Amino acid sequence: MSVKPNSTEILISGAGPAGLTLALGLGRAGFSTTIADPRPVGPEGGVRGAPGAGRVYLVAAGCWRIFDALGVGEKLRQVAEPVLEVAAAAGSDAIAFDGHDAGAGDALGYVIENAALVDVLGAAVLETANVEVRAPAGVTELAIGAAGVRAGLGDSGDVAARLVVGCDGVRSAVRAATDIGFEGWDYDYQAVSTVMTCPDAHGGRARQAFLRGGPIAALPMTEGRVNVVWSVKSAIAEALVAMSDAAFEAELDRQAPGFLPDARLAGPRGAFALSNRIASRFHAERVALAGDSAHIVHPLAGQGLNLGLKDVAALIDVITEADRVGLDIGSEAALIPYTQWRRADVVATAAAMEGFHRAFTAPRPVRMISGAAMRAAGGVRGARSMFAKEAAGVLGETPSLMRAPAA
Amino acid sequence: MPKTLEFDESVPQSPSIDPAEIEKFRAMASEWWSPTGKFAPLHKFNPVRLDFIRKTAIDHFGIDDSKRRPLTGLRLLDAGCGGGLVSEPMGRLGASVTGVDAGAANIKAATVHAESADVEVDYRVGAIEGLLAAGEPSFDIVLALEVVEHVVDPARFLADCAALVKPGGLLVMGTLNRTAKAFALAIVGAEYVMRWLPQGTHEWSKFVTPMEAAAALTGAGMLTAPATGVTYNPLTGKWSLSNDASVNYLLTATRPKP
Repeated sequence: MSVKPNSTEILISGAGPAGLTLALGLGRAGFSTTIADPRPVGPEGGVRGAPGAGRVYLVAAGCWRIFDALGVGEKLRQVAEPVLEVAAAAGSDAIAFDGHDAGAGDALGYVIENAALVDVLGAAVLETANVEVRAPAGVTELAIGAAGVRAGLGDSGDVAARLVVGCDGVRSAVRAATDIGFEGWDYDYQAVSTVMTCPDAHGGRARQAFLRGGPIAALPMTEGRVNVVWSVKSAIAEALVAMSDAAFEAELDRQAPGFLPDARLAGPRGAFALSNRIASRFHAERVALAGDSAHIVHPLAGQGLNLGLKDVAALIDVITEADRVGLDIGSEAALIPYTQWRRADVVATAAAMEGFHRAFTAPRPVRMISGAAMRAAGGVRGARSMFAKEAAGVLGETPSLMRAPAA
Repeated sequence: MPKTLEFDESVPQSPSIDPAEIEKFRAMASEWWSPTGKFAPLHKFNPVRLDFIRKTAIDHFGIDDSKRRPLTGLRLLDAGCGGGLVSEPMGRLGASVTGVDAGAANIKAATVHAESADVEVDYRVGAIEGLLAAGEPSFDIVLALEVVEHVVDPARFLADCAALVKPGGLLVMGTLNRTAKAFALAIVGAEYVMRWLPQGTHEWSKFVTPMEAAAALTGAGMLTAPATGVTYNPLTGKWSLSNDASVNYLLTATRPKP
C-alpha cells in the first residue's frame, strides 16, 4: 500500500447503540478511537430506515448507569419512558413489584426507541475528544495481523489500529474475519412487534403474560404508547402480521383479555425470528466482539441490549486496565479476561431464557404443570427476581461504569 | 469479507539478527508472547507484577497516577528480560528501557517482537556484571524479576543490580522463596503436576529467601522494604498481591541520596 493509513488505537466497526456507547467510553478514557459505519452518524442519521430501525429497548436501571456515567443519561431520559413497575401474569395469577421493592431507586429501567437512542449517542460521540467518526463509511476489507489490523473503509481510505471491536451486529463481518464460532439454535417462533396506544394510561407498567401460544410483553413508551412483543409459532406470526388492523386488535383482545384493554395500533407490525447464538470466544488476537456480534438471545426478558451494554462496560474496563499496566491493548493476553468475564454471564442468561421459553411453550399438559409449578415455587417471582437483580446490576462482577455513584 | 489487504509484518533488520534467522526468532517470539502457550503461567502472573511496579514507581517518584505514560523520563533496566514480557510494557508506560539477557536467542526474539509492537527497547545480550564493567550509567529503576533463582551467585547478582541503581533510585526484585511450600507448589505442583513449566525449570536449593535478598541489597547500600507476597487462587485462576510471601514474592529497595 503506497499511502500510509490513518492510525488509531481502537477501531470500532458499527455505530449502533453498543458501538456508539463504546466510542463514548473509550474516547472519554483517553484512547484514540475511530468508529466507522456505512450509515450516517448523528441526529437524524444512524439506523433510520435500516433493519431494526423500529426496535424498542428496555434498558435496565443498572445498565442505564453506563449512560449516566458517560454524561448522556439526562438527555436520553428526555426521550425515554421510565418503567416503574413490572407485572407478570401466568394463568390467573398476577404479581406486581415496583422499584422500591427491587431496591433500584425510582425506575427499574427505561424504554427507548432505537432511533432516539442512536440520535443522542451519535450527537454525543461527534463531540467527544479522541474519537474520529468515519461515516458513512463501512469497513469493507479487514486484514488482521499479529501486531495490528488494517481496515479498508471504501472510498474513505484505510485505517490501521491495534484493536478492532466488532459492534457490527448479528452478521458481524469482523467476527467472520476470525476463527470465532457462532453457534446456537433457532426457535420455530417469531416475535411480532408493534406500537399501540391504550386509553388507560400505562402508568409506567411493563406487562408480561404467558398466553397459550407464547409470551406477550407490553413495554411503556413515551406519549402513552406501548411496545407490544408477542412471541408465537412462525405460521401464526405471519398471520398476525398479514391480518387487518381491526382483526389484529380483536385477536389480541381474544387471546389476552384484559391485558391491554381497548388498545389500538399506532404503528406497523413486523415479525422477527427468535434464535440463540453465542460466539465461542468474545475475542481473538487484535479483535473483540460486543453486543449482537457476540450473542443474540431470546428476547423474552428484554436482555439483548442490556447484555451488549454490559459487554461495552466490561470491555472498557479490560482495555483500561491492560493499558494502565503497559500491556498491548489488542494482544490476546490483554483480551482473555474480557471473554472470561462476559461469556459466562451471556451463557447463563441465554440458558435462563431457554428455560422460560420451554416452560411457556410446552405442550398443554406440561404447560399446566409448569403453570402450577410456577405458582408453587414462585417461578414468576424467579423471573421477577432476575429482572430485579439485573436492574440493580448485581449479577457477576460489576464493571466500573455500572457501579452506583458514591453517595 | 475478502481479505485482500496484505498486512505488512516485515520488521526493519536489526544489525544483530541474521535475516535468514528472522523466522526462527519470530517463532520464538510468538512462543514467548502466546498467553496460552509454554509461558502461559508467566502471562497470568504478569499483570500483577506490572501493576506492582507501576504503583511502587509512582509512589516512590511522586508521579501523577492519572498519566497515561507515567514512567516518561525514567531510565529503566530489566535484568534477565527474557522475551521482553516486562520490558515492553515498561516501554509503553514511557520508560527508556534497557533489557539485558544472557540468552542471545531471547534477546533476538524480544527485539523482533518489540519492533512489530512498535515499542522502543534497547535490548542487549550480556550479563549485569558486563554492564558494570563497561561503565554503564546508572538507572532510575532496576528490575530483577524471576531471575535470581537462575543465576550462579544470587547475592553477587543482587549487589551488581544494586550498583546500577542511581542515588534516589528504585530496585524491584521478584522471585520464589526457599520454603517447603514453594517446593511443593512451584516445583512439584507447577512442573510435575500441572505441567505449567518444563521439569527442571527450577532448582529449589537456588531459591532465595526475602531475608537473604534483603541482606544482599542492604550490604550493597540499599534500603529495603518488607516483601510483598504474590499468591495464586486456584478457584478463580487469578494471581494477587498478599501478605503471604512464602512462595512468590516481590521486594523493593531504594538507594538513598547521599
